[in-house]
Amino acid sequence: MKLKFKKIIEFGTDGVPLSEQRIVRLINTICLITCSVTVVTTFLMQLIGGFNWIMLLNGVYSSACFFLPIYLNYRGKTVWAKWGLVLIFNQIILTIFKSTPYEVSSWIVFIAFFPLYVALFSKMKTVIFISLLTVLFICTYIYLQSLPSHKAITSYSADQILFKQLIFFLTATFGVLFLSLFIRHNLINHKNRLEESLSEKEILIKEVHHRVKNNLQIISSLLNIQSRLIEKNLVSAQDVVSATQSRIQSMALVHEQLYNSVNLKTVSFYSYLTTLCNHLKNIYYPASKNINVKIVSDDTFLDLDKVIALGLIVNEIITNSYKYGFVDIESPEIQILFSVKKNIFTLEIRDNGIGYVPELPAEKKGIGLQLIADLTGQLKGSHVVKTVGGVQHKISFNI
Amino acid sequence: MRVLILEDEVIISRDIAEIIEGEVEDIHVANCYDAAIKLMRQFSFDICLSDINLNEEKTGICFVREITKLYPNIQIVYITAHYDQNTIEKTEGTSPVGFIVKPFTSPQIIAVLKQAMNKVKVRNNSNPGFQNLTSQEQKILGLISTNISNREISEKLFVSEKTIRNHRYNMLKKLNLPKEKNALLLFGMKCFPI
Repeated sequence: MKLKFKKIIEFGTDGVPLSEQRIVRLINTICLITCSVTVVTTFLMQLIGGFNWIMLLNGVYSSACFFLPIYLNYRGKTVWAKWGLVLIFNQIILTIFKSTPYEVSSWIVFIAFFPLYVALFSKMKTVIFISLLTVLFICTYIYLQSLPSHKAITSYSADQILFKQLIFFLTATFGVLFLSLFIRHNLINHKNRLEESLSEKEILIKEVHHRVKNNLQIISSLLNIQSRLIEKNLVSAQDVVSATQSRIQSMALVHEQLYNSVNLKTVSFYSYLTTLCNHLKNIYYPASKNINVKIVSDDTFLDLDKVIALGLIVNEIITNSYKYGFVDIESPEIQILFSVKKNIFTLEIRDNGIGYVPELPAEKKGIGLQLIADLTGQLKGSHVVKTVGGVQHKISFNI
Repeated sequence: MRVLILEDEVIISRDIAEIIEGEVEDIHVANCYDAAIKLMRQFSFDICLSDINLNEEKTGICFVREITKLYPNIQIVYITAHYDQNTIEKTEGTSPVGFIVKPFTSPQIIAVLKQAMNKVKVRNNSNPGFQNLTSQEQKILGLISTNISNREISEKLFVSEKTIRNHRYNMLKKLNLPKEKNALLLFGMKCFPI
């Protein structure tokens, strides 16, 4: 029951800025409680005072009115809900003096509702505007009543007046009390949520800081490792520079994807791969011109570290294919497939090129294959290479 | 001299290993906490280069606390992206030789490593005979120097109490220590000053 209430109170809070969420919750809480109170009192009145059509219709009408803002919030029309609630309260203010023996009862109810107006609208201008409008209406009503042509619809006996006075003041007092309680609870709740979100962001910023430094270190280490190869004259400096550039890009693209993601923690692997492949195609442009790259898989979301490692692996494999894989091949093609089954992530990259040349000494190949082996080790996964009509890489690891 | 590198990013750990290749003969690399614990049980280490944030629940500091329990005199070097008061406070009690802040350069690593190596060398030279002990014996001697019973040592190293007694006997013979009470404890305390 409590959970259901909480669910109703959260109606319409998705996709709304944090400061507005508080107002949506406040509207839902007040409407839910007044709506249920109205339903219960209508039912009790029918039981105690005997069946009365007018009272029943009145009850149904008021509960429907209070239910309306909740429904509007549910449909995502939060601004409408807010103004709807104001309209309902103004309606109460302007009709209340008909059922009480006071002409000033509207004033009292208006003052009682005033904290709500302040809580509902973040701009003070709006609050003042609504208040002035309401005051104007009340004044007009009272003025009209004082005209000599006005006749009272009902007249009360002295006993009735005393009873109604009592009821009216009790309701007004409790109304103000409960209203301020709701607003207070709402504000405390809001403050807690803000603090929670703030500490979440603090952790996130620390993590990002750590990642930045770690990634800079990875780049520096990559250059270190390769500069030793240059010293030994195993690779040319030019190759190292362009290879490192594409490695840096493959890492940078992850962050770009992350920036666009909703939760700032996981990345859509499919869209990452698409951008990475486009990028590699541009880097190796003349060589990659006729090569068709196909990604055939459903999207999955992966953690940042995994995508960075996988991105570097894919970068090495595709670079190898572009550089050495296709010599005199008709309709060259690279296929990328990936899937998640029973928590095991599998990535397959196939090309229809010439396959590996086994005679090539290991040092001559640069650090590409070494990197793939190292990174799959880091993912605690396995890496299988086959040369059946081109090269087939298969990488799988436990998520 | 045997060095353990604990670093979760393989590219970085490979780089560190290549940097210190010319300085030390025996380098072991671990990429996660569990792998490091496994290595720690297999070999005795003189120096440990450890990252702090391992991208898992356990941190490098947790590992260092474990390894110093087993080798009281191991030299610790932290390699970390964070160098703030909070991090330093967390490493309290592990008395590292130094901190290296990422991104690092090769000379930084070599400089701190040499400092650590010197400390190890001083111990080895001032205690003739220590070098001749096997790695398991060195490990046991380190534990003896903390003045704990054979039973506790055997529990820490996952061997029987009798094996420890055998090792003690062998060490006494190898080191040719004077025949007095607690000879091994005194020698151990000299090798592993607190």
